[in-house]
Amino acid sequence: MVGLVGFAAVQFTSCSGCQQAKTEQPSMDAKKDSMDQARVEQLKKIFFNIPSPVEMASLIKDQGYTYEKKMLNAVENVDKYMGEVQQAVNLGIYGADLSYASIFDQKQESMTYFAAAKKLASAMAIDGGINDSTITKLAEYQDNRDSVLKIVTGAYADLNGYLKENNRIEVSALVISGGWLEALHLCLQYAEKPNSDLIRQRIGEQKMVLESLLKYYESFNNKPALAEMKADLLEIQKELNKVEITAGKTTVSKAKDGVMTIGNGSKATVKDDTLKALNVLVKKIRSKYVA
Amino acid sequence: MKKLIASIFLFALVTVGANAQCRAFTKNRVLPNLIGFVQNENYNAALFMEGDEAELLMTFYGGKDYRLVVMAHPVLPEVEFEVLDTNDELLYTNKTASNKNVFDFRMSSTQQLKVRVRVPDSKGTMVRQGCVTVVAGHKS
Repeated sequence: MVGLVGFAAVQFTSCSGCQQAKTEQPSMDAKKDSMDQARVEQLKKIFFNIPSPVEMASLIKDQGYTYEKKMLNAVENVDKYMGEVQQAVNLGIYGADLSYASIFDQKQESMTYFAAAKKLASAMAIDGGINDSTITKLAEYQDNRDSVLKIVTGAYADLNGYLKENNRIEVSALVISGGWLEALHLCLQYAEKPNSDLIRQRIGEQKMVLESLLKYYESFNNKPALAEMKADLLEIQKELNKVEITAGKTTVSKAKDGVMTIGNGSKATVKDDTLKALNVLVKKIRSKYVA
Repeated sequence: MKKLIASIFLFALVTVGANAQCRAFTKNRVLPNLIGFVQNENYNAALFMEGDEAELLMTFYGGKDYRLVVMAHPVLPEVEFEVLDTNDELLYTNKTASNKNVFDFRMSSTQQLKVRVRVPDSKGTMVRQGCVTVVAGHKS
């Protein structure tokens, strides 16, 4: 039974092996099915994807806005974070701040935020991506923004991989959630400024992203470590559900430069009162974690 | 029953150990294909067996250029992948592509797309397993 289908994360079925087990060793069939099921559950937690915070930061920069340090979580807070949940969420928050600083080519700030992230990663005994050798590399390439971005996103992807491979997938989910929350917070601050139509649109589109994130949380079967963040995300979803997203049929065409172009003309409309309520709510939730 | 539990435990150990090799595979063999693109920070690599099929839901933002790289370890047959919209409308398949592992595209509007990955069944007597990685990057 080669089959498929999964959402938010992934669903797996395995099969060619089963067929052989069935015909040659019927008694092995139950074992194989149990093992497949264990593998399916494990893989569901590994395969998951939402856009990186750097994409939100990039939009802010592209709209011509300036860097505002006061919007970020101060690096001085790093020593306050105790307990795996708060540390993991703030590791994600610092990651988003680091992406934002890197996009705006803030060399010193990028180094400072990376050092704060490294401190948290060390406190959590995470040995992946964010380490001394990456800091050295970052210092070496700090004059090249593209290289800095590559190092930063690569370090967080590797950290994510390390956590998933070492059965700390819940921690990985919290890091990703922290990053998403911070990126949303940053966009919400800029949405209050003039000419922020595209930022507002991007905020509205988070309805889709959050839907994926919450479906991912479902694969953890109410793990206590994720309970608080899940409740917070559900609160945010209540507000985001007020966003209206319209879309047509997906079309595929070739642009003049030969690149395949995909789109369905989607448009997210966020009303002023929804935006305000969302801003208040995200500020409240974020301050609980960064305090 | 004890044997079954032991088998599952052993399988879990083997899976974790082998999955650890997927990180190295991703770093050394997959990521070089993302040159010129900013890597997405999510990690999607795991052990697949022949015949395995997986689906990953991804959100892509409008106005951006993306690269999707899907690769399987050479121990496995060439991986097949498709990109579909959420209504299961097929938008891309690597079956007819010259580069079987890389798909470059532009999003004119923000949309969720499904990436369906399949390791073909070679119908051999041995079931092979190896790492399969899916990574996305965007142009900054």
